Amino acid sequence: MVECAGIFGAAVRSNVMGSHPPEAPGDAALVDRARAGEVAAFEALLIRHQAAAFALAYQIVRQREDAQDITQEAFVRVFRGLRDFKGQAAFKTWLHRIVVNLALDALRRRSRQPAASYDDAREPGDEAREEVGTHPEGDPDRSLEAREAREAIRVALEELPAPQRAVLLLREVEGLSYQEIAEVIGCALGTVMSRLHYARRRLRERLRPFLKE
Amino acid sequence: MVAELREREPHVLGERLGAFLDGELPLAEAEAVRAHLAACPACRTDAVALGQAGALLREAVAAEPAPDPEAVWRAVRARLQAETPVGAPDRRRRTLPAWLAWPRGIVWTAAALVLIAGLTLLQTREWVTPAPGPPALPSPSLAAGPPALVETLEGGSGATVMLYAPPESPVPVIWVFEGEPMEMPDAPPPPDAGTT
Repeated sequence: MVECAGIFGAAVRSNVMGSHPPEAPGDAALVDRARAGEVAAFEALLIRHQAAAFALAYQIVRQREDAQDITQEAFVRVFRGLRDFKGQAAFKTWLHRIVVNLALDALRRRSRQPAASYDDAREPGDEAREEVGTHPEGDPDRSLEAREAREAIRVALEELPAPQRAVLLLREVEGLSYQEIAEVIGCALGTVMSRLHYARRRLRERLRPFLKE
Repeated sequence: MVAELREREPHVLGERLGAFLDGELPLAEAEAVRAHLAACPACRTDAVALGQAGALLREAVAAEPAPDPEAVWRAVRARLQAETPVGAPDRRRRTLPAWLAWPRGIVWTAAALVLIAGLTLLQTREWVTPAPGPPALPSPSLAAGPPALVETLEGGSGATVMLYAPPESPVPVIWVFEGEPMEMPDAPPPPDAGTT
Protein backbone atom coordinates (compact mmCIF):
# COMPACT_ATOMS: atom_id res chain seq x y z
CA MET A 1 0.00 0.00 0.00
CA VAL A 2 2.83 2.37 0.79
CA GLU A 3 4.49 2.50 -2.58
CA CYS A 4 5.09 6.06 -3.60
CA ALA A 5 6.12 9.34 -2.10
CA GLY A 6 4.44 12.65 -2.64
CA ILE A 7 5.99 15.02 -5.14
CA PHE A 8 5.99 17.75 -2.52
CA GLY A 9 7.90 15.71 -0.05
CA ALA A 10 4.96 15.61 2.31
CA ALA A 11 4.76 11.86 2.46
CA VAL A 12 6.94 11.68 5.51
CA ARG A 13 6.33 9.14 8.21
CA SER A 14 6.58 11.82 10.82
CA ASN A 15 6.78 10.71 14.41
CA VAL A 16 7.48 13.90 16.24
CA MET A 17 6.49 12.63 19.65
CA GLY A 18 7.70 9.09 19.82
CA SER A 19 11.14 9.07 18.24
CA HIS A 20 14.16 7.70 20.03
CA PRO A 21 17.88 7.47 19.31
CA PRO A 22 18.77 4.79 16.77
CA GLU A 23 21.24 3.16 19.12
CA ALA A 24 18.55 2.62 21.77
CA PRO A 25 16.92 -0.81 21.89
CA GLY A 26 13.77 -1.08 19.81
CA ASP A 27 10.31 -1.38 21.24
CA ALA A 28 10.06 -5.07 20.41
CA ALA A 29 13.26 -5.83 22.34
CA LEU A 30 12.07 -3.78 25.30
CA VAL A 31 8.70 -5.55 25.25
CA ASP A 32 10.44 -8.93 25.32
CA ARG A 33 12.63 -7.86 28.23
CA ALA A 34 9.70 -6.35 30.13
CA ARG A 35 7.74 -9.55 29.62
CA ALA A 36 10.67 -11.44 31.12
CA GLY A 37 10.32 -9.29 34.22
CA GLU A 38 12.87 -6.56 33.61
CA VAL A 39 11.48 -3.48 35.26
CA ALA A 40 13.90 -1.13 33.53
CA ALA A 41 12.61 -2.25 30.14
CA PHE A 42 9.01 -1.46 31.01
CA GLU A 43 10.10 1.85 32.47
CA ALA A 44 12.01 2.64 29.27
CA LEU A 45 8.91 1.92 27.18
CA LEU A 46 6.88 4.22 29.38
CA ILE A 47 9.44 7.01 29.32
CA ARG A 48 9.74 6.73 25.55
CA HIS A 49 6.03 6.75 24.75
CA GLN A 50 4.30 8.58 27.55
CA ALA A 51 4.53 12.01 25.94
CA ALA A 52 2.95 10.77 22.73
CA ALA A 53 0.28 8.93 24.68
CA PHE A 54 -0.50 12.03 26.70
CA ALA A 55 -0.56 14.29 23.63
CA LEU A 56 -2.92 11.97 21.82
CA ALA A 57 -5.21 11.67 24.83
CA TYR A 58 -5.15 15.39 25.47
CA GLN A 59 -5.94 16.33 21.87
CA ILE A 60 -8.95 14.02 21.97
CA VAL A 61 -10.37 14.79 25.42
CA ARG A 62 -9.00 18.35 25.72
CA GLN A 63 -8.55 18.15 29.50
CA ARG A 64 -5.13 17.72 31.00
CA GLU A 65 -6.28 15.91 34.10
CA ASP A 66 -8.31 13.43 32.09
CA ALA A 67 -5.42 13.01 29.67
CA GLN A 68 -3.03 12.26 32.54
CA ASP A 69 -5.43 9.68 33.96
CA ILE A 70 -5.81 8.10 30.53
CA THR A 71 -2.04 7.97 30.07
CA GLN A 72 -1.54 6.22 33.38
CA GLU A 73 -4.41 3.83 32.81
CA ALA A 74 -3.07 3.02 29.35
CA PHE A 75 0.32 1.99 30.73
CA VAL A 76 -1.29 -0.03 33.49
CA ARG A 77 -3.23 -1.89 30.80
CA VAL A 78 -0.10 -2.29 28.74
CA PHE A 79 1.63 -3.87 31.69
CA ARG A 80 -1.25 -6.22 32.35
CA GLY A 81 -1.39 -7.15 28.70
CA LEU A 82 2.33 -7.74 28.20
CA ARG A 83 1.96 -11.50 28.63
CA ASP A 84 -0.62 -11.70 25.88
CA PHE A 85 1.03 -9.20 23.53
CA LYS A 86 2.57 -11.32 20.81
CA GLY A 87 3.96 -8.50 18.75
CA GLN A 88 1.33 -8.91 16.03
CA ALA A 89 1.21 -5.10 15.90
CA ALA A 90 3.84 -2.52 16.71
CA PHE A 91 3.99 -1.60 20.37
CA LYS A 92 3.14 2.00 19.47
CA THR A 93 0.04 0.91 17.56
CA TRP A 94 -1.07 -1.20 20.50
CA LEU A 95 -0.51 1.63 22.96
CA HIS A 96 -2.33 4.12 20.75
CA ARG A 97 -5.28 1.79 20.40
CA ILE A 98 -5.57 1.65 24.18
CA VAL A 99 -5.21 5.42 24.52
CA VAL A 100 -7.77 6.19 21.80
CA ASN A 101 -10.29 3.75 23.24
CA LEU A 102 -9.85 5.19 26.72
CA ALA A 103 -10.16 8.73 25.38
CA LEU A 104 -13.28 7.96 23.40
CA ASP A 105 -14.76 6.22 26.45
CA ALA A 106 -13.99 9.32 28.51
CA LEU A 107 -15.76 11.50 25.95
CA ARG A 108 -18.77 9.20 25.97
CA ARG A 109 -18.93 9.39 29.75
CA ARG A 110 -18.61 13.15 29.57
CA SER A 111 -21.41 13.38 27.02
CA ARG A 112 -23.73 11.57 29.43
CA GLN A 113 -22.99 14.12 32.13
CA PRO A 114 -24.63 17.55 32.25
CA ALA A 115 -23.52 19.58 29.27
CA ALA A 116 -20.19 21.31 29.67
CA SER A 117 -18.92 23.47 26.86
CA TYR A 118 -15.42 23.15 25.53
CA ASP A 119 -14.57 26.48 27.14
CA ASP A 120 -15.64 25.00 30.46
CA ALA A 121 -13.28 22.15 29.82
CA ARG A 122 -10.36 24.51 29.48
CA GLU A 123 -8.32 24.61 32.62
CA PRO A 124 -6.90 27.54 34.54
CA GLY A 125 -3.38 27.02 33.24
CA ASP A 126 -4.39 26.80 29.59
CA GLU A 127 -4.42 30.50 28.84
CA ALA A 128 -1.23 31.05 30.77
CA ARG A 129 0.48 28.32 28.75
CA GLU A 130 -0.72 29.90 25.55
CA GLU A 131 0.64 33.27 26.66
CA VAL A 132 4.01 31.71 27.36
CA GLY A 133 4.10 30.27 23.85
CA THR A 134 5.91 33.13 22.19
CA HIS A 135 7.47 32.81 18.81
CA PRO A 136 11.07 31.61 18.95
CA GLU A 137 12.28 34.64 17.04
CA GLY A 138 10.65 36.94 19.56
CA ASP A 139 8.51 38.65 16.93
CA PRO A 140 5.30 39.77 18.70
CA ASP A 141 3.31 39.71 15.47
CA ARG A 142 4.37 36.20 14.67
CA SER A 143 3.79 35.18 18.27
CA LEU A 144 0.28 36.55 18.06
CA GLU A 145 -0.23 34.80 14.76
CA ALA A 146 0.99 31.52 16.25
CA ARG A 147 -1.45 31.87 19.15
CA GLU A 148 -4.28 32.63 16.76
CA ALA A 149 -3.36 29.63 14.66
CA ARG A 150 -3.38 27.43 17.75
CA GLU A 151 -6.78 28.82 18.65
CA ALA A 152 -8.03 28.04 15.14
CA ILE A 153 -6.70 24.52 15.48
CA ARG A 154 -8.41 24.19 18.84
CA VAL A 155 -11.72 25.22 17.30
CA ALA A 156 -11.23 22.96 14.30
CA LEU A 157 -10.48 19.98 16.52
CA GLU A 158 -13.45 20.77 18.70
CA GLU A 159 -15.74 20.86 15.69
CA LEU A 160 -14.64 17.44 14.51
CA PRO A 161 -16.41 14.32 15.67
CA ALA A 162 -14.11 12.43 18.03
CA PRO A 163 -13.33 9.53 15.62
CA GLN A 164 -12.28 11.98 12.90
CA ARG A 165 -10.19 13.91 15.40
CA ALA A 166 -8.47 10.70 16.44
CA VAL A 167 -7.75 9.72 12.83
CA LEU A 168 -6.34 13.15 12.03
CA LEU A 169 -4.05 13.10 15.06
CA LEU A 170 -2.88 9.56 14.49
CA ARG A 171 -1.88 10.43 10.94
CA GLU A 172 -0.61 13.99 11.19
CA VAL A 173 0.96 13.91 14.62
CA GLU A 174 1.83 10.27 15.25
CA GLY A 175 2.60 9.39 11.67
CA LEU A 176 0.73 6.09 11.67
CA SER A 177 0.00 4.41 8.35
CA TYR A 178 -3.60 4.01 7.24
CA GLN A 179 -3.42 0.33 8.07
CA GLU A 180 -2.18 1.09 11.58
CA ILE A 181 -4.90 3.71 12.06
CA ALA A 182 -7.52 1.21 10.92
CA GLU A 183 -6.21 -1.22 13.54
CA VAL A 184 -6.19 1.42 16.25
CA ILE A 185 -9.67 2.73 15.52
CA GLY A 186 -11.08 -0.61 14.47
CA CYS A 187 -12.45 0.43 11.10
CA ALA A 188 -11.85 -0.20 7.40
CA LEU A 189 -9.10 1.43 5.38
CA GLY A 190 -11.69 3.28 3.31
CA THR A 191 -13.18 4.73 6.47
CA VAL A 192 -9.76 5.97 7.51
CA MET A 193 -9.32 7.70 4.16
CA SER A 194 -12.73 9.37 4.22
CA ARG A 195 -12.46 10.48 7.85
CA LEU A 196 -9.02 11.85 7.26
CA HIS A 197 -10.15 13.70 4.16
CA TYR A 198 -13.06 15.32 5.97
CA ALA A 199 -10.93 16.23 9.00
CA ARG A 200 -8.19 17.75 6.88
CA ARG A 201 -10.66 19.79 4.89
CA ARG A 202 -12.16 21.18 8.08
CA LEU A 203 -8.74 21.95 9.50
CA ARG A 204 -7.63 23.63 6.29
CA GLU A 205 -10.75 25.79 6.21
CA ARG A 206 -10.14 26.95 9.77
CA LEU A 207 -6.47 27.59 9.12
CA ARG A 208 -6.88 29.28 5.75
CA PRO A 209 -5.97 32.76 7.10
CA PHE A 210 -2.65 31.31 8.28
CA LEU A 211 -1.74 29.35 5.17
CA LYS A 212 0.61 30.78 2.58
CA GLU A 213 -1.12 29.83 -0.64
CA MET B 1 -13.52 31.32 0.88
CA VAL B 2 -15.65 28.20 1.19
CA ALA B 3 -17.39 29.09 -2.08
CA GLU B 4 -13.98 29.34 -3.70
CA LEU B 5 -13.18 25.88 -2.42
CA ARG B 6 -16.41 24.48 -3.79
CA GLU B 7 -15.70 26.06 -7.11
CA ARG B 8 -12.47 24.14 -7.17
CA GLU B 9 -14.07 20.85 -6.20
CA PRO B 10 -14.02 19.36 -9.70
CA HIS B 11 -10.24 19.76 -9.71
CA VAL B 12 -9.73 18.51 -6.21
CA LEU B 13 -8.80 14.87 -6.04
CA GLY B 14 -10.80 14.33 -2.88
CA GLU B 15 -9.53 11.64 -0.55
CA ARG B 16 -6.97 10.58 -3.09
CA LEU B 17 -4.95 13.78 -2.75
CA GLY B 18 -4.33 13.24 0.95
CA ALA B 19 -3.68 9.54 0.42
CA PHE B 20 -1.22 10.40 -2.34
CA LEU B 21 0.63 12.83 -0.10
CA ASP B 22 0.68 10.21 2.63
CA GLY B 23 2.15 7.65 0.27
CA GLU B 24 -0.87 5.42 0.70
CA LEU B 25 -2.02 5.03 -2.89
CA PRO B 26 -1.22 2.04 -5.08
CA LEU B 27 1.38 2.80 -7.69
CA ALA B 28 -0.94 3.10 -10.70
CA GLU B 29 -3.34 5.38 -8.87
CA ALA B 30 -0.49 7.46 -7.56
CA GLU B 31 0.82 7.96 -11.08
CA ALA B 32 -2.57 9.24 -12.17
CA VAL B 33 -2.69 11.72 -9.30
CA ARG B 34 0.85 12.83 -10.04
CA ALA B 35 -0.09 13.49 -13.66
CA HIS B 36 -3.12 15.50 -12.61
CA LEU B 37 -1.10 17.58 -10.17
CA ALA B 38 1.46 18.37 -12.84
CA ALA B 39 -1.30 19.87 -14.97
CA CYS B 40 -3.50 21.47 -12.30
CA PRO B 41 -2.26 24.52 -10.33
CA ALA B 42 -5.38 24.55 -8.13
CA CYS B 43 -4.77 21.02 -6.88
CA ARG B 44 -1.11 21.78 -6.36
CA THR B 45 -2.19 24.71 -4.17
CA ASP B 46 -4.48 22.40 -2.24
CA ALA B 47 -1.66 19.95 -1.73
CA VAL B 48 0.60 22.66 -0.36
CA ALA B 49 -2.19 23.88 1.93
CA LEU B 50 -2.70 20.36 3.27
CA GLY B 51 0.96 20.10 4.11
CA GLN B 52 1.00 23.49 5.84
CA ALA B 53 -2.12 22.73 7.87
CA GLY B 54 -0.59 19.47 9.03
CA ALA B 55 2.61 21.26 10.05
CA LEU B 56 0.65 23.84 12.04
CA LEU B 57 -1.25 21.05 13.79
CA ARG B 58 1.99 19.31 14.74
CA GLU B 59 3.43 22.59 16.03
CA ALA B 60 0.35 23.18 18.17
CA VAL B 61 0.47 19.68 19.63
CA ALA B 62 4.19 19.90 20.31
CA ALA B 63 3.67 23.24 22.10
CA GLU B 64 1.48 21.56 24.66
CA PRO B 65 3.64 20.71 27.68
CA ALA B 66 3.78 17.03 28.47
CA PRO B 67 3.79 15.71 32.02
CA ASP B 68 7.04 14.80 33.75
CA PRO B 69 7.89 11.27 32.58
CA GLU B 70 9.29 10.33 35.97
CA ALA B 71 6.04 11.39 37.63
CA VAL B 72 4.07 9.26 35.20
CA TRP B 73 6.33 6.31 35.91
CA ARG B 74 5.98 6.72 39.68
CA ALA B 75 2.19 6.95 39.38
CA VAL B 76 1.95 3.89 37.16
CA ARG B 77 4.27 1.87 39.36
CA ALA B 78 2.34 2.85 42.47
CA ARG B 79 -0.91 1.82 40.84
CA LEU B 80 0.48 -1.53 39.78
CA GLN B 81 1.75 -2.20 43.27
CA ALA B 82 -1.49 -1.05 44.87
CA GLU B 83 -3.49 -3.36 42.64
CA THR B 84 -1.50 -6.38 43.80
CA PRO B 85 -3.60 -7.90 46.59
CA VAL B 86 -1.89 -9.88 49.34
CA GLY B 87 -3.37 -13.29 50.10
CA ALA B 88 -6.18 -13.03 47.59
CA PRO B 89 -6.57 -15.64 44.87
CA ASP B 90 -6.23 -13.13 42.10
CA ARG B 91 -5.10 -14.06 38.60
CA ARG B 92 -3.29 -10.76 38.23
CA ARG B 93 -1.28 -11.46 41.33
CA ARG B 94 -0.01 -14.72 39.93
CA THR B 95 1.05 -13.07 36.72
CA LEU B 96 2.96 -10.22 38.33
CA PRO B 97 6.70 -10.57 37.91
CA ALA B 98 8.98 -10.84 40.89
CA TRP B 99 10.17 -7.25 40.76
CA LEU B 100 6.73 -5.97 41.67
CA ALA B 101 6.48 -8.32 44.63
CA TRP B 102 9.61 -7.07 46.39
CA PRO B 103 7.75 -5.62 49.39
CA ARG B 104 6.37 -9.05 50.23
CA GLY B 105 9.83 -10.54 49.84
CA ILE B 106 11.25 -8.08 52.31
CA VAL B 107 8.55 -8.92 54.86
CA TRP B 108 9.22 -12.65 54.61
CA THR B 109 12.97 -12.13 54.82
CA ALA B 110 12.59 -9.94 57.89
CA ALA B 111 10.33 -12.50 59.53
CA ALA B 112 12.86 -15.24 58.86
CA LEU B 113 15.68 -13.13 60.33
CA VAL B 114 13.67 -12.44 63.48
CA LEU B 115 12.96 -16.15 63.87
CA ILE B 116 16.63 -17.05 63.45
CA ALA B 117 17.68 -14.35 65.90
CA GLY B 118 15.15 -15.61 68.43
CA LEU B 119 16.32 -19.18 68.13
CA THR B 120 19.92 -18.05 68.51
CA LEU B 121 19.06 -16.19 71.69
CA LEU B 122 17.32 -19.22 73.08
CA GLN B 123 20.59 -21.12 72.73
CA THR B 124 22.48 -18.69 74.96
CA ARG B 125 22.59 -18.53 78.72
CA GLU B 126 22.10 -14.79 78.63
CA TRP B 127 18.52 -15.45 77.68
CA VAL B 128 17.64 -15.96 81.33
CA THR B 129 19.76 -13.05 82.58
CA PRO B 130 17.38 -10.54 84.05
CA ALA B 131 16.85 -7.47 82.01
CA PRO B 132 15.81 -4.20 83.59
CA GLY B 133 12.37 -4.83 84.91
CA PRO B 134 9.47 -4.35 82.57
CA PRO B 135 7.14 -1.50 83.38
CA ALA B 136 4.41 -3.81 84.62
CA LEU B 137 4.36 -7.43 85.60
CA PRO B 138 1.35 -9.54 86.30
CA SER B 139 2.61 -11.22 89.45
CA PRO B 140 3.86 -9.33 92.55
CA SER B 141 6.06 -12.27 93.42
CA LEU B 142 8.02 -11.77 90.20
CA ALA B 143 8.24 -8.02 90.35
CA ALA B 144 12.02 -7.77 90.88
CA GLY B 145 15.20 -9.67 90.07
CA PRO B 146 15.06 -12.43 87.49
CA PRO B 147 11.34 -12.32 87.03
CA ALA B 148 10.67 -15.71 85.60
CA LEU B 149 13.58 -17.74 86.90
CA VAL B 150 11.94 -19.73 89.59
CA GLU B 151 14.62 -22.15 90.62
CA THR B 152 18.24 -23.03 89.96
CA LEU B 153 19.45 -26.41 91.10
CA GLU B 154 22.92 -27.90 91.00
CA GLY B 155 22.82 -31.50 90.04
CA GLY B 156 25.13 -34.10 91.44
CA SER B 157 26.81 -34.67 88.09
CA GLY B 158 27.94 -31.04 87.71
CA ALA B 159 24.96 -29.96 85.68
CA THR B 160 22.79 -26.94 86.32
CA VAL B 161 19.06 -27.31 86.05
CA MET B 162 16.96 -24.21 85.62
CA LEU B 163 13.24 -24.07 85.93
CA TYR B 164 11.53 -21.29 84.10
CA ALA B 165 7.87 -20.51 84.66
CA PRO B 166 6.74 -17.70 82.41
CA PRO B 167 3.93 -15.74 84.03
CA GLU B 168 1.81 -15.79 80.90
CA SER B 169 1.92 -19.56 80.51
CA PRO B 170 1.14 -22.42 82.89
CA VAL B 171 3.72 -24.62 81.19
CA PRO B 172 7.18 -24.46 82.83
CA VAL B 173 10.41 -24.73 80.82
CA ILE B 174 13.37 -26.70 82.09
CA TRP B 175 16.98 -26.20 80.94
CA VAL B 176 19.80 -28.51 81.82
CA PHE B 177 23.34 -27.03 81.42
CA GLU B 178 26.35 -29.22 81.73
CA GLY B 179 29.52 -28.00 83.45
CA GLU B 180 30.03 -25.36 86.15
CA PRO B 181 27.01 -24.03 87.98
CA MET B 182 25.56 -20.95 86.38
CA GLU B 183 26.56 -17.60 87.87
CA MET B 184 23.53 -15.56 88.70
CA PRO B 185 23.40 -11.78 89.12
CA ASP B 186 24.53 -10.47 92.45
CA ALA B 187 21.43 -8.46 93.05
CA PRO B 188 19.70 -9.81 96.14
CA PRO B 189 16.19 -10.97 95.63
CA PRO B 190 13.43 -8.92 97.13
CA PRO B 191 11.96 -10.20 100.36
CA ASP B 192 9.02 -11.83 98.69
CA ALA B 193 10.64 -12.76 95.40
CA GLY B 194 9.79 -16.15 94.03
CA THR B 195 13.35 -17.52 94.06
CA THR B 196 13.64 -20.30 96.55
